[in-house]
Amino acid sequence: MDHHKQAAKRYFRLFIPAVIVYLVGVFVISWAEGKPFFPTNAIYILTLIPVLAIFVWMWAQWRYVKELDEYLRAIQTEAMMIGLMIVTAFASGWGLMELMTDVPRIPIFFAGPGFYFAYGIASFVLNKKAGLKGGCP
Amino acid sequence: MKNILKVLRAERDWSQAVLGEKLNVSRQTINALEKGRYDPSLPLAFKISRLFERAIEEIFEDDKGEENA
Repeated sequence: MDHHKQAAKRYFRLFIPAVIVYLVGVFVISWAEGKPFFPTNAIYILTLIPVLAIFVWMWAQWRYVKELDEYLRAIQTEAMMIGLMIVTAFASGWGLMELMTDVPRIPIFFAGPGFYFAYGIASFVLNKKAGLKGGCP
Repeated sequence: MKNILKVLRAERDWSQAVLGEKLNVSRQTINALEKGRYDPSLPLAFKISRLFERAIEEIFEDDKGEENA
């Protein structure tokens, strides 16, 4: 089995459970919010669940990138930089408009999914160019 | 950077995957190196040089060096 597949397998072994925990955490928080029997402090504590899940999957991603060989690592790094560039530019631009004009407010919560969306597309395009299958790990 | 990696590999009748295994890199990396789409790091260039028992400059052609000369 080649490097890319091995590293991706190890990545998914952590990524999939982390995403499930994240989604369940977000669902539970959304459900609990506003319920009179649920104290606000409990919501704060519950928020730690998706945060922990994010740390786990980002650590898995860090390990994945470190385990790749130098060429594949360069592709992933470039894709992440493109994702970061798009999200930073969009968030800064939109944030400025929120301060100066009456544009609708976008919760900062969407910065993470936005990054992964942009990173995924960039990774898919760069991998295709390099003759690899798939997008971000 | 141009190189003779494909020729050296063909002389030994190795596939890209086999060469990748010997150098501990992916087949895609070998493909990118052969096509000149990717320049290897110094450690990888030394590994290639040791594997084929050739000097680095015999395997890789520094086209920018010619421009600067």
